[in-house]
Amino acid sequence: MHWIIPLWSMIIAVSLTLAGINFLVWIFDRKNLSSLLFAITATAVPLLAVTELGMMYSTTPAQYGEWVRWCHPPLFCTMVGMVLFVQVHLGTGRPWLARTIIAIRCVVLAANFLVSPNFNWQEIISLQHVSFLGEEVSVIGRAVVRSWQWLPTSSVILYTVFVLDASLTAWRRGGAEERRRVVVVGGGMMSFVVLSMLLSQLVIWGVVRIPILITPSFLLLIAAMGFELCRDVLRANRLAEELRDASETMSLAASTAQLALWRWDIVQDSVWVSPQGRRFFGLDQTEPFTLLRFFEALHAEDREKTRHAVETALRGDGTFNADYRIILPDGSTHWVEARGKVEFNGNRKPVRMLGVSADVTQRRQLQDRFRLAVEASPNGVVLADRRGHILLANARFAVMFGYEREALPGQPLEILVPERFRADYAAYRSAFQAAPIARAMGTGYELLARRQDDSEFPVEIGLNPVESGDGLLLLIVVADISARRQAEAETRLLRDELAHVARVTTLSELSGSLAHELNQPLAIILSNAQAAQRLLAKDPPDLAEVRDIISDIINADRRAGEVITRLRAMLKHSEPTWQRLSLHEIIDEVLALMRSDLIARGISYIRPAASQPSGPISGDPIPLQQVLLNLFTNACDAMAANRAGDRLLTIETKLAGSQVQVLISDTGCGLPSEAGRIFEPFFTTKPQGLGMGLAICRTIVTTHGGRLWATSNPDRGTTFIVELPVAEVAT
Amino acid sequence: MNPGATVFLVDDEADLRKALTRLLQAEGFQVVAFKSAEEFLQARPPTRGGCLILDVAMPGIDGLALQQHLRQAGTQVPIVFLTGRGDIPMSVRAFKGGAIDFLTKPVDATELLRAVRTALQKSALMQAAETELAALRERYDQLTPREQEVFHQVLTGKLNKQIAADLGISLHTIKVHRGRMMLKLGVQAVADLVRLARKLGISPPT
Repeated sequence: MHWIIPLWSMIIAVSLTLAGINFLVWIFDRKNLSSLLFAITATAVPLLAVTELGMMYSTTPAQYGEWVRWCHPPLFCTMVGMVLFVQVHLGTGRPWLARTIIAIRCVVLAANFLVSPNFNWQEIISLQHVSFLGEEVSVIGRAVVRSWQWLPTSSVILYTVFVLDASLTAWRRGGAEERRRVVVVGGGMMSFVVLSMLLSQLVIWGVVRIPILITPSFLLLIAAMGFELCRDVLRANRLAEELRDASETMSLAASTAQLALWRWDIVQDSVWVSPQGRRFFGLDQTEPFTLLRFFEALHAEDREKTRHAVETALRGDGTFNADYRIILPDGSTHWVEARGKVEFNGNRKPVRMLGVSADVTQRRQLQDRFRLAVEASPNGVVLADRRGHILLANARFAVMFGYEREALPGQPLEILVPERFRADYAAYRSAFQAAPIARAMGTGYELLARRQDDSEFPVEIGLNPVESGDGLLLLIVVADISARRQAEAETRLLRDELAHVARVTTLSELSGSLAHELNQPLAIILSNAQAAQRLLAKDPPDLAEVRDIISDIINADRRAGEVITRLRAMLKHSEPTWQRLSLHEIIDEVLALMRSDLIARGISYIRPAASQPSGPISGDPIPLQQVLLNLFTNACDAMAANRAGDRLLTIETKLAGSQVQVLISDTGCGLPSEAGRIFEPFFTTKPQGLGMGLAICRTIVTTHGGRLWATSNPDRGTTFIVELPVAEVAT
Repeated sequence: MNPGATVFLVDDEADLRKALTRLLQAEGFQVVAFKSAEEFLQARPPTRGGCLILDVAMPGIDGLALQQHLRQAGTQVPIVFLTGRGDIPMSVRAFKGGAIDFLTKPVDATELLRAVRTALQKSALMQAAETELAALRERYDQLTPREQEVFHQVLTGKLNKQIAADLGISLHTIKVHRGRMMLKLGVQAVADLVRLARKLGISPPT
């Protein structure tokens, strides 16, 4: 069987096929230089195979020498191609080595055609026939190797070093995929080099007597490259699949997010728009779309602005940002926000622009509405940056502070704070920055703001941190509460007025008893004085008794003074004086005022637990006395119909946790049927009653942080309960 | 006025009690003070010839109630009322009950003393009248039943003859009874006899 022809034919066919495939790959992907280089190498191999066959079938030394000479050009292509291939494909390899190898090969190639018979041998004397793959083939018998032969040999050795070095560098540098590639490509190269090149050198140097066999070992490299090719195809498939997935995911995301994707081919001026985007622009799915068509769809006012944005993107860094309105065929206006990126070719010429657009109509409308709402707010609204500088302020804010609205942005917030509070403000602001949570200022205390003209007004302020793309912003809502403060003051005044009227009314009911209360000490004084007159007229006067009388007079006078003071306190229209009080003392005072009245009405009272401490309270004594006076008087009134001796008023104080209670019980006629209304203003059961007493009492108790209510006693009569908070112990 | 007459003072106000006591004592009155009507009633002091100064408004039994109480008990004593606030219905009630005066505090010494003196005079008169009446009654009680009968007949203005006829006794016997009766009662004329009868509360039979 003759193997040589079929085998070499096969090598030629496989090499050409591989060369063809790689060449095609390069044609479609010009950037893929390694494919081109491999194609060149693989194209040279069949030529090499032909020369090998020529050598094997040579009959004369001259013939052989001629074939050897012609094997050099393809060999040159193969070697140079492989050096460059290694450099491109693996991305490693020392350039100086590559250049040296190529230089040597150039010299060899050039010299090869200048000398006879070829570069390798000086003279081929005879051929020898050996049996090879079942055939008799010619090999070198006797020959003189040229003295320059060390040059190609050294190129082969350098090549070996080059491949080894490039492979090792790539191996060290790369990951798993890279290393695999090194093994396949580097390994393939190395086997090719070792098997073919070194072998041929041995043949040339006459060490072995076999045909020069470069091409068969190229099969190994072909196998390695074929393997690479398969892997690339598979990987390309996988990538294609991934890309499809990614693209599907992308379009799904885009359509879910109501985004339009687009691609503008600048060279051909055609715009591809995703289906979602076509709906945006009111296009059907097939209608061609161009930049002109795009501008036509825009709102007239936005055209120039958008055109400018496009031009800027094409000239500048390629970033396209634009907000514009588009008018749909149905006449409706939509707000669109578009972002894009221009791709440039090697000459910085814009090739195409890719981008995404979003319909922000709803958001815009919302923003517009929000802006209108802020503008219409009765409060001042201001947005400030982290450093406390005003960014935006609504009209109300400007009016409130007496500034021109345009003058406000950029101003520090300090200008709104009266000078004497600025230190506090700075401290407050840093506290806010340290813990930016929404908080209110000015509730529960007087917070003053400063107008441009330095006048001040009371405000309440809400601070809200707003996290935005530009960092932390501060939304400040300012309410001018002068009017409210005024109204509050007026209300308080009216309430005090009313309380005073009620107090005077209550006291006037007691006037007879009060006159008696005052007459009593006066009577004591008068009688004592007149007794003293008589004692002094005697001879000898009883001076000891007179002294006694004078001391009694002084006491009685003091007592009268106290009555008057007490009365005046109740009648006076005085400013509230908040102080720590003993409930017992207040009860004592009221009972002192009512003493005569109680006697006159035949009412007796008991005070259980009067000796026990009631707990201090904090309040204004006069209104509290008024409350008790009112409740005691009511209790007395309720018992007016009882028979004499059956009119018992019980006044008990009780400590209940942090509250102290005064329980005022009578044995009288009980609550009216409309008991729920007794605290309502103008509700009365008395013929001359105003119906304000209990309403005012409840208001007074409430302003003291307490409660006032009534319950029916189990047997008869009513108990009114005043509950007040115990004052905190002063530290 | 009877010397050593006692003024009884009832007032719940200690200091006033003391002051009034001093004043009255300085004027030479004997004063006994009580802090309440209840205390006074419990003590039941002899009020004959004396008088009472009463505070109207007092806890428990008040002045007017005490007045009523005493009247019901038949104790006749002139009362001067003191009040911190006098109103007309109250004073009317007091006067109807036989009050001497109704004085408003602060009361002037002159006024008070005048009222007290008036009261004591009245008390003295009452006491004198009482004494006289007691004497008269004693004398009247000495009459025999027949003499009393004759006394009653004389009061009607009958003549001795008519009395004799009515009683069925002789004219002479009537004359003896009448003379003894006039002698025992210490009167000479029929007019005196009529005055005496009125004092004794005896009215002629009709």
